[in-house]
This record gives sequence, C-alpha cells and structure tokens, in this order.
Amino acid sequence: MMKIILVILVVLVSGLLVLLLIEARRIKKSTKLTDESLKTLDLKTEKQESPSKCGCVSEILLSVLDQMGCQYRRDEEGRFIIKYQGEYFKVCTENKCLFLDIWQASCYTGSLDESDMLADVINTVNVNVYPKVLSVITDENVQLYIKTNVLLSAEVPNKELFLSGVFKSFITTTRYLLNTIEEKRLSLELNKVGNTSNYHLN
Amino acid sequence: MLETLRSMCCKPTVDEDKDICFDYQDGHFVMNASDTALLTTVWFYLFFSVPTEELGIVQRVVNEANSACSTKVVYNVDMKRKCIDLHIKNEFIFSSAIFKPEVYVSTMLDECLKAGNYFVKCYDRVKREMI
Repeated sequence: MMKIILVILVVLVSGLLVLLLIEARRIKKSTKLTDESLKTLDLKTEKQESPSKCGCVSEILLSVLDQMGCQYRRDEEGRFIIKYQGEYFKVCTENKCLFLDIWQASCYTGSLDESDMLADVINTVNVNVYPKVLSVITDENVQLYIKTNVLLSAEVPNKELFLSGVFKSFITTTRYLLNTIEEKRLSLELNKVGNTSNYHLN
Repeated sequence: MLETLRSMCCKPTVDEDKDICFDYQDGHFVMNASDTALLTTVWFYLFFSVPTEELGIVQRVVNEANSACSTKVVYNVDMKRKCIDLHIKNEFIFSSAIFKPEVYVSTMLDECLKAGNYFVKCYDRVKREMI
C-alpha cells in the first residue's frame, strides 16, 4: 500500500516538475519575444526618424537659414517668420511637400479708386519678375502682396545662394512695383492734364 | 533639359532665340533654359482669349487664379484684334541633380495646364454670376 502511495507521489511530483519546466520555457520564450519586439520597435523608431533627419523640408530650411545667418521664429501656426535684409517673410512648409510657400506682407496699400490702375500694374510686374504680385480688395483699400513657391529638396544645389536670391527677388519686385505704380500714376495725371489743356484750347 | 523633355516624348526643338519649343498634352510650350541659370522659365502662350470689354472680369479672375495656383496667369490687350490674350508663366529651379527630373518637369508643366483650366472655370463662373 505504502509502495503504491509512494509511486503515485513520485508520478505527481515528476508531473508537477514537467509542468513547471514547460511553464518556465514558455515564460523564457515570451521574454525573448518581448526583447525582440522591443528591438524591432527601436528599429521602427529609428526608421521613422531618419527621413525627418535628412529629408524634411522644414529641417532643410532651418539648416539653410542657419548657414545664411538669418533671424527667424515660428508663429502659433508653425509658419516661419524670417527676417532678411530688414524685410520680413512668412514661409509655410508641409512635411510631405518639398515646396515652400513664401509670402511678403502687404508691400503697398492703395485706395479703391486706384484698383483698375493697380490691376494693370500687377500684370506688367508679373510678366517681368520671378515672384507674383497679388491684390486683396477690402471695403477700405487695395493691398498688394508678393508670393512665390520654391522647391527646397536635398538635391537643390547652392541652397543658401538660391534662397537668398529668392528673398532678394522679393525686394527688387517691391521696388519695381512701387516704381511702376509711380510711373503709371504720373502718366495718368499727364493724360488728364493733356485732356484738360486740349479742352481749353478747343 | 532637352534630354529630360525627350525622355517625356515631347520632341523639343530649339528656335532662333535659343528657346526650347515643344508640345505637351494639349498645349504648346516655350521654355527658356540655360546651363548657367538655375531658374527655368516656361510659357504656355495664348491658352485663352476674351473680348476687350471683359478686362474687368479678366483682372479679377487673373488675381483669383494667381492666388490659388502655383503658376502665374498674365494677359496682354491686343487692340487690333480687340481681344485680351491670356498666357501662363511658370518659373522653377532645375538641375540635373534633381531626383526623377522627368517627373518633376512634367509636374511643372501640369501646373500650367491646371492653372489654365482653373482660369477658364473661374471665368465661366464669374460670367454666369453676372447674368
């Protein structure tokens, strides 16, 4: 009887030992898996970070601005406000887009009576310059803005030279725009004077 | 640039002013590209014409199209024909180092076609609003 009980006990204990061994192996395997998945996660994290390290347009822009020695800050909507040669530029970037939208705040404000003349001037300027001039007509006045969009990818050669050229083109466009407005205004006034004198002569 | 245009099956030719002329989709384009300049200018001339009486509408729609599109819409008034001719100008950086240049150049040309379509749609809308 004692022998039978002893055999049963031995069987139970060995069964228990086998179960414990299986459980220990399972735990070991799951730990190994967790380690591996952590490694994979690490790799994923690295992979996700790598494009932003070298390809994101915002980061390319930041490095170019640093090389150009430009002052900049970001507004609440994430747009860059850049100061170049005393002028402020607003630059919008999108992560998946390689193009930058560059704006210059109102460079001229005219009266509503001038809107036809300004539309004519804008067309002349847009034919001859690189950035484009746009108008916004409000209830009180006409405001003129300058805008362009440029490619800024890693392959663009001489990025600092190119971007400073773009900013300079805004400055020359403003000058050209103001000169053209002045010329147009003068020619309109001369026409008026001419018409009046013709009227008097007649 | 010529190589890129050839790879796009555009059959470019060079005129006496050294401008590159070619057809792409529905349009005839004239391009000013040089080996020394970083910027390339492409013109899509005469994509639309309207009578001179509609100068006000044209000016309004040109501004709208220029705000919405990446290219520039410009016009000239032809007093002899009594019409306003509309053109599209696109200036972009081009270098042989650019990844997939044919995709990039075709995107730049597509932008011209898109701006043309946008202008015509806006013009029709404004005309309908006025009736």
